[in-house]
Amino acid sequence: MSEDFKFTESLVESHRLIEEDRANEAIDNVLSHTSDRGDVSITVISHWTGSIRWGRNVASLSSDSRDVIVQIGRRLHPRTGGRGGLATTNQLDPASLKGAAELAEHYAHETNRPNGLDLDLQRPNHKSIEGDVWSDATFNRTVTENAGLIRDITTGSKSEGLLSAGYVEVIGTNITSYSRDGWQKVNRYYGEMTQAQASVTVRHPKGTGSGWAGQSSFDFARLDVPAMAKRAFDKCVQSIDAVRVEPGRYTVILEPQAAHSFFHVLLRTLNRFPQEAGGGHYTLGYDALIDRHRTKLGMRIVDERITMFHDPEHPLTGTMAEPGLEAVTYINKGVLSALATSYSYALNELLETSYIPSRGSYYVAGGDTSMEEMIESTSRGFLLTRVSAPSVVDHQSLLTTGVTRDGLWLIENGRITKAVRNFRFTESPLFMLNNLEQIGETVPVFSPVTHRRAILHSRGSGITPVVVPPIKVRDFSFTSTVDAI
Amino acid sequence: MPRRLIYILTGFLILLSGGLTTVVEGQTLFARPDTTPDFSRYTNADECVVAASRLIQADIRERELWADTAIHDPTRRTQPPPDTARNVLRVCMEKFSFADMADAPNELIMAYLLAGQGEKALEVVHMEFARLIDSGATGEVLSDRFLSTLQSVRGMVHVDMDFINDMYVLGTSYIPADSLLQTVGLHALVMTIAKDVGDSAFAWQAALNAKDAYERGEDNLPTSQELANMVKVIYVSVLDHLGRNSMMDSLAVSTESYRNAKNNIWRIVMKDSTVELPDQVGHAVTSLEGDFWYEATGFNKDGGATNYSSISPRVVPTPGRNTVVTSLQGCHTYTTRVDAGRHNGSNPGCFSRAATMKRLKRDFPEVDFIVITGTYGVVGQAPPLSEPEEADTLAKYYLSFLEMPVTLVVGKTPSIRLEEPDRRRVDLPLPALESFQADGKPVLGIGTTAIIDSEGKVVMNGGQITPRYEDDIRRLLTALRRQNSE
Repeated sequence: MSEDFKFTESLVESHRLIEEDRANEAIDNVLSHTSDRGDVSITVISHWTGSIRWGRNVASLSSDSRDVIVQIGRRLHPRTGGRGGLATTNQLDPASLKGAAELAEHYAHETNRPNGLDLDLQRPNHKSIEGDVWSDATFNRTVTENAGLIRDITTGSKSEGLLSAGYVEVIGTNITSYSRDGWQKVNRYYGEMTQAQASVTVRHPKGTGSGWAGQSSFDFARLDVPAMAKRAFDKCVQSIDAVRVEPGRYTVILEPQAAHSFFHVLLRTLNRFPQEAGGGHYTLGYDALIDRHRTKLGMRIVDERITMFHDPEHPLTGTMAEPGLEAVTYINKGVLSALATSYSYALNELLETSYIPSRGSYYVAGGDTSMEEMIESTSRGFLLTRVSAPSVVDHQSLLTTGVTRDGLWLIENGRITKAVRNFRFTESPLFMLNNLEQIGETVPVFSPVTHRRAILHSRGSGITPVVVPPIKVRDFSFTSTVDAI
Repeated sequence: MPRRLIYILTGFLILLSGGLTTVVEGQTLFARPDTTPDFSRYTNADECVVAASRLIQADIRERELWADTAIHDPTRRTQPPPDTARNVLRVCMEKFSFADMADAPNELIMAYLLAGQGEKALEVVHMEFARLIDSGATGEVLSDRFLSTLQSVRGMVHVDMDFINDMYVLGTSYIPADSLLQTVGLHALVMTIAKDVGDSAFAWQAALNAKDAYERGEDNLPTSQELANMVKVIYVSVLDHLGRNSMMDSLAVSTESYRNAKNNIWRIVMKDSTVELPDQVGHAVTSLEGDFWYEATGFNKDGGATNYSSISPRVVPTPGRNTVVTSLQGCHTYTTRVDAGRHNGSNPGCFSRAATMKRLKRDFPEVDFIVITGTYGVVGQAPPLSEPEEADTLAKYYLSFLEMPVTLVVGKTPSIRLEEPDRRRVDLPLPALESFQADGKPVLGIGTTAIIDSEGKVVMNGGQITPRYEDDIRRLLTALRRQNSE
């Protein structure tokens, strides 16, 4: 067994992530087997996930997963657009690194067919802003600590005669990269992030009630798992023996998690190119004079109390670095003020090199109305915990359908009076946000990293912190009742 | 031993040891690589048809790879389906019943044709039309259905020309004689199919039939103006085919007689209409204007440019020389890669045009080729360039990399900015294109081509300098060469 293989082994025993020096050592090792010709990019990604999951009050999984990925990209004719070679290894010993470097070199030679003009027409380096998304509180969480949390929750649900399920997950990642382009310009980068996320679902054994709560943040200290679990318990208990109410248009208070589902539908469509291609809901119409579709940029599209932005440096919406990622305000006091663009779009349509990358993270500025005030000021309406599987059925109006879940209550004369069976809703976030009655204080909502690859391959968009206020809207359309709890 | 040789030998050994069988067995029904049919995995006729279709698609992909720069071959697009696909159906026809496919008659007809069973294909046509007649379909419905069937099997013509012949005879019985559009359409379609396979005698006869049918039924044009025009357009294409030699002969005499010949055909077709021949043939052009000029200064044996230099503006088209002028807009712009000019669907791209220009320059070295284009502000992924920088870059791209054997005229494209917050740049028409006129109208549109004779008169405008129009351009340049020599 070689010395370096021992290192990999000891990594499993004691290191959750490899350190920057060790990653740079691996990069230098690869470079020593790479010729000076063409361009090269080497990325060392170290990833760790600690996860505990449970179902029906019994822990089902306690995992500790860690991996190192070394990606080597080579192109011999970067100026002429020739394809390149890519090789990947998760071993850090010299023999493996040498093998991977040679493989990338071999692939680059195999695909080495210059198919373009030798011109200095590369895109410029874009600055990228990075938030502080590292937390020792997250990274230092131990299995024992997490298990303790789970034990308390499962014990509590057992004693109440309820069933609980969920997970607590902590993630750490660092990325060390080196790139050298065809003009020998070298870029080095090091970034690190953590993510903590927890979800608790509590259900009545007879399937008559259900409650849910979830939180996510880069910092575990910002998660209050016991309080979260209590909220899920309470919602479950309070939603037992729900009654049926006739569907129709009602005033609805959407808790932040429910509001997030609708804002997220909005966010996904905030891209400029499709709107100007003529098929979007922000398309104003075709202007024959300029032979282009005009958009609603600069026009009010929702209530003026709505401001939606993202700042990668904001303490609550921080993300890792990504080329071109800067702060953007999509909707400013109800006015559509920016749409995401690609570099190609910005260059060709605006003759600019700065662009607005699309992202999954956002912040909706809130008001100062409390949930209690919202309930007290409602003569007849509903309080909605969250929605399930919202899907857009009409892309022109953004009409979205889905079902309510994990707690829906009737409000009568300023008081919550009874739990209600779930509804199917068919509503557009655009209509909804034009029927805004009240807006509450913003809070971070559950926006988990659902796939490890999201972090490994897309940096900034990998973690998507979201901050949303609760909102009260009128004439929200429930179209039918559903039997699911 | 060189690594490549090791791979070749290893591959050879795998083949010899039967290793390939494992690969084929591991292949799913609908997965690539799809060039090796695996009959053992097909369980019914549908799967065979899917497999054959996959093999044909793979063959088309293979043929279209770099096809835009291949030596010109007018029949390239109608090459016969690959033997592998035909073999799949031959074998499958012996193993499975294709009767279940009766509800998809067109697919069934194609399957029979591929399997070399044209007589069965014809039976399906008979059965299908008997069914249609039983269900009460008459006249126009039958005609449309018949023509669409014929159109759909057009790609099979190399397989069984007898079938096309039978269909032609059959068509005359299904299509009512008083339906002028469908009758002329049938003859014209058969003429096109025969041209595709290079059967000029068959094509000539079909064209004559179309001409006779039109002239017999001319007083019975459809009442709808749109349909009547459609018949006339088909008739023009037939006359064009029949009169091609005489037209070229007239051009060899002079551009004026060529214009008169075209006008005569136009008058025959349009008869009482006052609409003028909608082109500028025979009219003198103004001189080209541009802001940046470059010229290829040497040519290789394939007609490509070997060198180029920046030049001062000069009088173009040059009196006394035949000239082909083409505008290139969008062949490289609106892309983020300057090398994205390869054939892509309906856009022939820069590679295809350059290859056509080189072939024409090789065969007509006495002809001047001019490319006119405009600055756009952006080339490739680089930050925006100044106009002189962009013009230099375009010259390098067109004349050095693509080796276009041309004089390149680059005009500055004016543009406006939309108001905030839109800020999009909107291009205005290129002045260099707008000012290049004949008969008071611009000669060139975006991406189109014009041929100017040695007296500075338009011989052709419209079309593109691509393989699709290469034959037409070549014929015209040959006639002009004869005109000059006489």
